[in-house]
Amino acid sequence: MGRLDGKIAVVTGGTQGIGQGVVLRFLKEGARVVYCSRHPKNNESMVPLIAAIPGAVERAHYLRADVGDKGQIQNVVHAAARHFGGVDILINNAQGIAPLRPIETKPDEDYAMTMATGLYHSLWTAQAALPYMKQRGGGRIINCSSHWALQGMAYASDYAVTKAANEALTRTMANEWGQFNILVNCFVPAGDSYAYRQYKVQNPAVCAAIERNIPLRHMGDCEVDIAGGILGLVSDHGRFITGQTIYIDGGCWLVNPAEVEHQAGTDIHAGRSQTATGVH
Amino acid sequence: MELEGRVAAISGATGSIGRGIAMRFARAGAELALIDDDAAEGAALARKIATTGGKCRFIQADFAARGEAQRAIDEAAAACGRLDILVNSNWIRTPWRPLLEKDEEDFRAALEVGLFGALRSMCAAVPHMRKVGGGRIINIAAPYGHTSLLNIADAVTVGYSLQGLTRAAAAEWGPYQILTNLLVPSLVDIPEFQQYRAQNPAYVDALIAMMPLRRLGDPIEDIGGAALLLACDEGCFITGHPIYADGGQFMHPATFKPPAEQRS
Repeated sequence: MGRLDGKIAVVTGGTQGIGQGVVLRFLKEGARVVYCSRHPKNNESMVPLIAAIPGAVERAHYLRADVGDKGQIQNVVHAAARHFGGVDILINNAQGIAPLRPIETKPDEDYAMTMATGLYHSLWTAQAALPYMKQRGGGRIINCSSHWALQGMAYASDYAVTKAANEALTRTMANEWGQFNILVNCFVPAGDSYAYRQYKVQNPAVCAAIERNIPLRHMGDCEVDIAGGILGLVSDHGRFITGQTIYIDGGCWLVNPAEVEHQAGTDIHAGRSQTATGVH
Repeated sequence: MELEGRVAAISGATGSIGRGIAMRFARAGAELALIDDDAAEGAALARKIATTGGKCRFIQADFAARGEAQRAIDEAAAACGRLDILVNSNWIRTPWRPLLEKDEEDFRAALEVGLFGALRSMCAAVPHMRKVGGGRIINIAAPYGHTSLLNIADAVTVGYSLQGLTRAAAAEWGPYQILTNLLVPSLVDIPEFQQYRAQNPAYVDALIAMMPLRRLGDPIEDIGGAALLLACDEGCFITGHPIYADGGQFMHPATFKPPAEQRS
């Protein structure tokens, strides 16, 4: 008996890192999962991983979508309803990340792209999911924040404002939609995610300090640790928890590894352009 | 059966919240050591859980007395063979009074039971948890510490002090793979709250109408469920923070105004 038997989930940014961990964990718990990413090539590695889970192949459905495009990302939600018959769970995990730059040289385009792929994407998917969740008698929405928003990490102002906006949206959504039995929470990870690995290549000393000091002494495994916490929130166990920011972070930052500062210029996506669409 | 093979000690087990968590953990397959100073209620709860098929024993102890928490935790670990999970749900009711009229003794008594009880049992549990490679500690704080309530400054103080202790323990004991969290239940359908509701029906109705989930929490399914999240594999990377199991009520901080007759 899986904890998500009978549930239909949508996961954005589902082919790498935390999103991948969530897709695989949810499939193992019996869910039907619709997931998306910007580059179909990145889904190639998912295929054998899903095939290794008994019965999961017919419960998984991939779509290509740019989360910064309202039509595309809302279509992913509608696809879940078309393909599997509804939506119970929405995991707004995807996030475009611009190169780290001081505020005074960060272009407006960076802010627009980050907000589009972070905040607006979370808003648009939730708006699309609302009628389906109401139809199903309720639902669970999970948005994503970051330590970087809470601590004002240097050179990532666009990322910080987007993640803080996600938290505020989480609270308002929880407030407005609780009456439909839709519970909305935000998570703050410290995971061995795609973004973290890219960041680590470019800031090895910072990451060594973080990993030396994190109380549980390791970054979270995306499927075991990060997806575990998210599973708890969307399962029956999380049925009275809503409007909150939950730290799935091994106690990261309870002990401050402020030994090294990272450098401006870190580029998680190593020069591949992040286009913003649908935001004015 | 998320807690199959795990042993959980629950202090304050006969209280409304402790009882709800105990019953949920039993259903999840945990072996339980119920700890409380009320021997009659404790034995009755242990019998009740046993009739549902749960493995359970009762250990009498008053955590406010020095040495008792240590004895009870050691006894639990010895009797059950191991200790994986500790839940602290200890609190006492003090008279509702404006802060300027509060007796310092109320602060002392509330801290002794709530904060020092947790502190003593947590420290007692660590060696046992280290023996099995880690563990989970869940401290329960009354919601009075986290929503704006008048006339209950000692309970507010205990709540925040527990948050501090939880954070510090999480930071220090994380390397032992001991995860420590604070669970804050609110608007739970328990006798104490129903008593308050009977005296303030319109106010409580308004509270429920305002909070996001529009309903009271069930101590077993809602609060026990949240505790189970923290105790099982889902909580394996969550440590050091407060989790509110309150149907979203914290977003509308309640100002519980005690009616005149509650001032003692």
